[in-house]
Amino acid sequence: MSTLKVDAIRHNSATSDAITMASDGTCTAKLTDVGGAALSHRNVLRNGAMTIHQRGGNTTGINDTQNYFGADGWYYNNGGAGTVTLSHETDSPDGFSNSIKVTVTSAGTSSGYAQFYQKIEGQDLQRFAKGSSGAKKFAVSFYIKSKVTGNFVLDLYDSDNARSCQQIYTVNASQTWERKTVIIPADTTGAWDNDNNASLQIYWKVFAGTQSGTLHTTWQAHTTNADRGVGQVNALAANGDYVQITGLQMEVGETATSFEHKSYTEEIAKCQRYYYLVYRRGSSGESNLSIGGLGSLYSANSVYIDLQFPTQMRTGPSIEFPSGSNRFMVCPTNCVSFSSLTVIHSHKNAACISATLSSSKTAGHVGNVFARTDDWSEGERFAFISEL
Amino acid sequence: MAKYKFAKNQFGENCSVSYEENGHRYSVPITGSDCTSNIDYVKYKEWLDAGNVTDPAD
Repeated sequence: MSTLKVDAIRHNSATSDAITMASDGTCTAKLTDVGGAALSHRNVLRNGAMTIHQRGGNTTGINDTQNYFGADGWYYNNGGAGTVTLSHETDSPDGFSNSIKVTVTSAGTSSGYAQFYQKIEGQDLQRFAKGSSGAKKFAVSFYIKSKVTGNFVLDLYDSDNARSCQQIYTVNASQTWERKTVIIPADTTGAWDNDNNASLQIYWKVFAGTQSGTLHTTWQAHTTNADRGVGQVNALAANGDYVQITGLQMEVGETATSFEHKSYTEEIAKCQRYYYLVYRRGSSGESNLSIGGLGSLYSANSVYIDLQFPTQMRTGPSIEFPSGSNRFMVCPTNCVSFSSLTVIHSHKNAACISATLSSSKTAGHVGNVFARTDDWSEGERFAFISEL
Repeated sequence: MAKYKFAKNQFGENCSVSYEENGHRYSVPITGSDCTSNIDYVKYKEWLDAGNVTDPAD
């Protein structure tokens, strides 16, 4: 082992130093990128550290093909993989605090699929220059912990152009956090739309029961789902089998840099573009909580409430609310309850919602609005949704 | 009873549809340019295109 001792490093044709060493052991460097990616905001995936879980709780008894959220932005879905529990965990590698986990509670058939995945807007993917002569590679890195070892498939699907590319990686040690890096080749075919719709879906497969054909290790036109999981071990074969992931990052280039941690403030703002939770009832209520807007009685029986979002949402959102009665109250002079909500106007920045009152009041009056959380059931939510 | 039901605004126009799933209720906007890429609206349109009919508002 030897040490190179110099005061500076400069390109032959340059007129100034690229790296200048200081006598205290530090240096000043003129970096223009990190492995081909930007110096900050390299990670195009959101909530890669699974920090944000606005929907809260765990989901037990999953045995259908619907999408479920283990954390904000992270779908899990399966078919034929038996019955599983999807949970948000604190078990994680050093430097992380959360992960998501799928655990088999009742083993399924040998056909079907199971996967974690995220959809990404086309306007956030333009840096990859896909579909051009200057197309860039994708460096994907993540931590995984699985009871079953073997080969796993990482699958990228371009939904604008119906093209896909997969790579194999290996989980070597059972029940141990391992960091993996997968490099996806550039694609000079099929540019991504520069809009707010989903252009890329990135899948971490954990089970691919129906396999035929060969993996697309370079980008190719999509033909069948059966060739997108070839070689994938069944990591959910038996009761108690599990897979956990966290620290997911995708950046430009062929160098996977260290995970780019974000503050809670940054990450929740990013997640609120797709799901903005006003309130979720936990194991106990919290008395009466404001929902963030005043209510005006348009008629004796109806209240209209205007709400502004903390960040611009991807689309005009839907709303999610409890199915039970008397979940909300408005107090123009004296209070009256209401429950079933309706979106009246909704755009990316604000919405007007309405409801029918449980009894008549004087039209034209205005009152504060709150959620009667003590009357809510655990897990009930009031939220705005504009998921991909 | 159909999966979706219309709701009207103060002008008497159908402005959203509601449905229930997994114990939660949802209201989905059906007017305005910002709603066309809402995935709940896209699913509703697919349901309509399959020949289904939305229940009228109360």
